[in-house]
Amino acid sequence: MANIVLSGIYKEFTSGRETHLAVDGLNLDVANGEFISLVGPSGCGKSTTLRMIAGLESPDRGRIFVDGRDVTAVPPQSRGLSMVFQNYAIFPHMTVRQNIGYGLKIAGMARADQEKRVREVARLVDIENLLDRYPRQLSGGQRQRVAVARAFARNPDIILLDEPLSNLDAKLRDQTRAELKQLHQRVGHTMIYVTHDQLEALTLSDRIAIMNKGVLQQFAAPSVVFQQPANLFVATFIGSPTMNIIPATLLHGEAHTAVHIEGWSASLPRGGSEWLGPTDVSAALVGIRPKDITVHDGHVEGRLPAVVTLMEPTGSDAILHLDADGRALVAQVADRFDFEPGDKVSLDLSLDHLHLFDVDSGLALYHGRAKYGARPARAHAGPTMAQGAA
Amino acid sequence: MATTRFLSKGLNYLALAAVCLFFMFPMYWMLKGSLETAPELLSAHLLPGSISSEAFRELIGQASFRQYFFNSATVAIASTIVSTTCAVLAGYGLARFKFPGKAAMSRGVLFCYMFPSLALSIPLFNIFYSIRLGNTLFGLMLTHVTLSLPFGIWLMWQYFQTIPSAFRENAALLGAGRFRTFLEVELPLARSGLIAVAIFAFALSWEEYEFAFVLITSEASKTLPIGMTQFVTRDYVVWNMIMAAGITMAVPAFLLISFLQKYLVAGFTSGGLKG
Amino acid sequence: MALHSARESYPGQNTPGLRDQAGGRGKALRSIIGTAIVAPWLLPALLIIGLVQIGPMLYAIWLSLYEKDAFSFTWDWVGLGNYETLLQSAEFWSAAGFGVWFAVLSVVVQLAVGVPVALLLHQNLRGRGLARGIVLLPYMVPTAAMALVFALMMSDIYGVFDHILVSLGLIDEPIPFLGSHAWALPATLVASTWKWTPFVVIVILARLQTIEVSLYECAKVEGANAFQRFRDVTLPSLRSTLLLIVMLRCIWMFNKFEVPYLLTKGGPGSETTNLPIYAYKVTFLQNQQGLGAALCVVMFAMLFIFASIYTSIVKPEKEIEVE
Repeated sequence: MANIVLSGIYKEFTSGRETHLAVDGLNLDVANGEFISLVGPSGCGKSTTLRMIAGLESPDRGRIFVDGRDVTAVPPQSRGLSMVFQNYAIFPHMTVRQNIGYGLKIAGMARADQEKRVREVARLVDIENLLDRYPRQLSGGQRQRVAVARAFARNPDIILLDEPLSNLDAKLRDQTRAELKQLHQRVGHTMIYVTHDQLEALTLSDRIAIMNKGVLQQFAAPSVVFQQPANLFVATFIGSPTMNIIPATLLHGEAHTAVHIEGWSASLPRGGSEWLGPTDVSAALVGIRPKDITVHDGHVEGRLPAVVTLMEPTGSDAILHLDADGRALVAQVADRFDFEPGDKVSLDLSLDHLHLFDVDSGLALYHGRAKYGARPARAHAGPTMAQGAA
Repeated sequence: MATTRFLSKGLNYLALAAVCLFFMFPMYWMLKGSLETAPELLSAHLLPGSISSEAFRELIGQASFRQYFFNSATVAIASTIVSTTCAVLAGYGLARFKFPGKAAMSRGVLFCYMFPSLALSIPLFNIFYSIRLGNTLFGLMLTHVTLSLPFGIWLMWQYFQTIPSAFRENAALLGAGRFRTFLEVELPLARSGLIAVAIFAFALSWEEYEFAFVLITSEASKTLPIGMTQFVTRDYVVWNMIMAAGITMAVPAFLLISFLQKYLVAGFTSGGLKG
Repeated sequence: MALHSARESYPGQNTPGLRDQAGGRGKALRSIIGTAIVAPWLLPALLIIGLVQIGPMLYAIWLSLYEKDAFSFTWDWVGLGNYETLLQSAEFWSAAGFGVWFAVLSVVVQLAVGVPVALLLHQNLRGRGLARGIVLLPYMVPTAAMALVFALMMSDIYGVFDHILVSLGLIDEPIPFLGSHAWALPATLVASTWKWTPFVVIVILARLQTIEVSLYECAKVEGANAFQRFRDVTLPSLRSTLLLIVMLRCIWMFNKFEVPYLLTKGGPGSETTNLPIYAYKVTFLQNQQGLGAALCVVMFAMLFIFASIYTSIVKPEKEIEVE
């Protein structure tokens, strides 16, 4: 186990005359035993960052420290870390046993000890019965386990995982995700996990580093990035369905700020801890998650009027696509499926879950006061149902 | 409609039969000749008069034939080993490293490869004599290596490129150095390419004529294609033996290359394979 | 997106990184290091190619500037004299002319046979697999063995061709195919067609198999008949393949030694003597090593021109790109 510090990492790739900036001034520190995810759209620099930690790429500028030791110039084989690759990179000409034990063999471990350790890690991921098979005889899920077992075999300080679940089908992915989390809780290695799937990042990690275009957007616990997104990018990247973003004008009074959207307005108390940025801008973007919008039948004064354009039932919820005076909005409604396209509805935006973002910089200005862990989705399911019944 | 369809199908099969006949007939003639006695063969009937192993027995009884066969096998096996080793190393070097002049070098190899063997063997004759490689199987072996080497390099180059870099990177992370990664991870993954290169190297050396014809003048170092064609000028009566020698030459090459049909295509289209 | 493509398109990119971790070093230094690392891998191959191919080529250029016979150790400087002799020699021009004529004719015949055969073998006919194997046969037969069996079949005394023609009453006297003025070239062409048409068939067949079936189906739906489908779908896809075949076959056929030599010894007279046979005769039968070397240089030069065109089409350094 070890902690990792990335300091001022800068990396670009040159192909022909084109230069592509991959990672720009990244600072990150990962505590001992922590499980962190690097997440972002493809091309955001997350994989490059992982490969630089592994030593497979070298940063153009900046330094990488493991347990306080500068490893920037240390070759990958001497960094004391393991990696699980996206396509697993299991050697097809070796049995499962040879694959798992390869690192031990290189390290010069005695044969008997190798066998013992291989059995140990194989038991950990439940593939003890497959040790004599060749990779071609394994299913995708089994291969993934072999790759994980091999990464654990040398008992490295740090384990890097590069989208290890992306080659599995949906059901297996959910199951393996849970097992991976259990595994981490049991063995407690420092783990860095790269994924483009925000759900994986949210469910697995102690902290999530969200990257975009090579720049770190936010590095915080899952609940924080979900409920206090640092900027517009994080707000729209994390969470599904995506957060609604609506342009609004702000009118600042003595004690309150009025947020005005065409057809709807609300007043927020000024000066509280909810305000993060300058409080004197006259325009902002309102961010509201679909599940924080309450949908009422018919037109009700004071609420945002809208028309249903599409309903997508998901089983327990319905995703409503709405048109509010030309703006497309999405709302998530629990346990109600009786909407039809064309239905006139009116919307309530939960002020406790409202976010404001700066129009130019995209930085968060205001986060609603609702604090975390109170299962916000359920908290609002009640009134919605009540409305539906009424 | 149905009739024309039937007719065109029939014509197709007729053409197919003609094509097969054309490409098979010389092989048939060789086989037939090798199984006949000399007088029977001279009468040139389409079907063999009788079948006898006389020609083969007589051929094997000749010390010079055994010598040629042994020389051919020695040269072919040695050049296979050398050519495959060089091709694997160079193919790996080209696939895994960036260095200045790489593109120029890959073209250069192809240029060299197109050199007509005969135009090379004429100056080589002098060079080999001055460095005491004249009339040696070792010298001949070296020339045979160059027949398959460019194609071998090209094929291994392609092969190593198709191995995902994750294997190499993973081996590095597990602690393996570069040469160990090459030997224990990447080479086994490129095994089928390696086998293809080896078989081509063998087949090309086995049938090589021009270098051997110019460079080897001593009876003790002659290879099968050279020794065999000399039967013709020596004595026309032994045609059945010559055909038998042709069969003994054709069979190994035949068996080996038929394993490799799919690589033939790659070799031909890349221009890396002489024909 | 862009990042991934940047990384994936450079499979070798991170390789120096395995050793050269410090980053930010000079480009020149990096390329020197790259060369130093790669040298041991390429050295064995380069040594052999140098000894057997580059060396003789340079030696031939040097030797071609002297007059030297095989038995003396004297080298008499003649400058470009050997080349002058060649350009004024009727034999040289006739050998070069025959070489070009033979190359062009045999490539035309190989294409004329090979393309229809490939199209035929591409049809969905029963026994197609076997037929493909049979067509491949000649490639697997060693050239010397093949030359011998053709020599036997084309003999005027015990050759099967004459035997058939005579017994059918088509000719009265057996024709010495390989020894007659009229028949030596056609006979050699038949033999070389047999041996090298498989090359054409295999390459075209491989190309045909990569043409999307849906293209044909689409053309069919649009109402194209068989000929139109061939003209509009098959032929355009074959164009680059045909070019490749013509280039390669011309080079190889121009430089063939063993088949014409084994069949006709360049005769009758010097009628089927091409440049390689001529060079062999000059060097070893007439003992004019300087002149023979000059001939080799001429062959190298012609090859160089041809190969430059060829490599600019094929681009052998193009790499497969896999992550």
